Amino acid sequence: MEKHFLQDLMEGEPEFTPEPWYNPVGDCIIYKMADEAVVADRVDELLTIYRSAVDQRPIGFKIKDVQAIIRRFGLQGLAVSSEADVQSVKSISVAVVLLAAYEEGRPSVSRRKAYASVMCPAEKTISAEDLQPV
Amino acid sequence: MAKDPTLWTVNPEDPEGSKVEATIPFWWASKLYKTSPVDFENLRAVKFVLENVDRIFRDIREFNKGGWCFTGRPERWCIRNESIEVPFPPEHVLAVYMNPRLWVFDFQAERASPDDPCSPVDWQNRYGALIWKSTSSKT
Repeated sequence: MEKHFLQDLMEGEPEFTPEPWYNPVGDCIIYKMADEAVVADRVDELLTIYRSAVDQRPIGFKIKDVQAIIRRFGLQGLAVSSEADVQSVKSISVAVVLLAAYEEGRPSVSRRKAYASVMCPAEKTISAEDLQPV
Repeated sequence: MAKDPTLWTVNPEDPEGSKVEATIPFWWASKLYKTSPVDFENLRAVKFVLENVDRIFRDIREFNKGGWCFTGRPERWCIRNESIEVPFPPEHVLAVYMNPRLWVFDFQAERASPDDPCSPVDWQNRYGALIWKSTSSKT
């Protein structure tokens, strides 16, 4: 295979890390549980489910417009209770962000099923420090 | 930190005019390298799309004004491990998303629209407007 056009800029070996992360330019939380190409299955304005390009199984999701969700609910409203105090929020629950995103849209059976399908994998946290917009 | 690499692409503000540089943020490419090597590999497909654009859409988010979606159809992409390349699936497009300053921040394969094989499904409701079609792409 031809050399990757960005290879010379990278250091170390590539690695797969199945943890959610915040993309400040895209203002979205990304979570992939398998290192496979995905086909986007757009549920609504805020949630996209990632389906494996290999066998169509769901292997992750993207939650968009995270800053709008934070503005509406506040970091305290999205915090993991054991990791927050009155002054500071150390980390937020991705599952709570997902629930907050669900509340932004009209209730429907298809949306409820889609959000429920990624709720278990979403039982992760993300550092509040990482949630800084650009 | 390394300089952010750039690629020449169609200027969405003046599609028939001179090309402009789109930026692949170094931090983002590094993040893909360290979290999802397959996605890093598929930056090759992103490069292909930016150099062979089929459609350009503007206003890509409800809560954030501006931004661009460029679509195209790479011939091949990587689906598993870094070395397993296969033909890009039929009836799909690769959508590359950029902020108003033409910084790439995301890409994804999406089902193609039934009314246009070069546009993502439901493009009429998802974006502000289709602003440019390649004359060499399928219609």
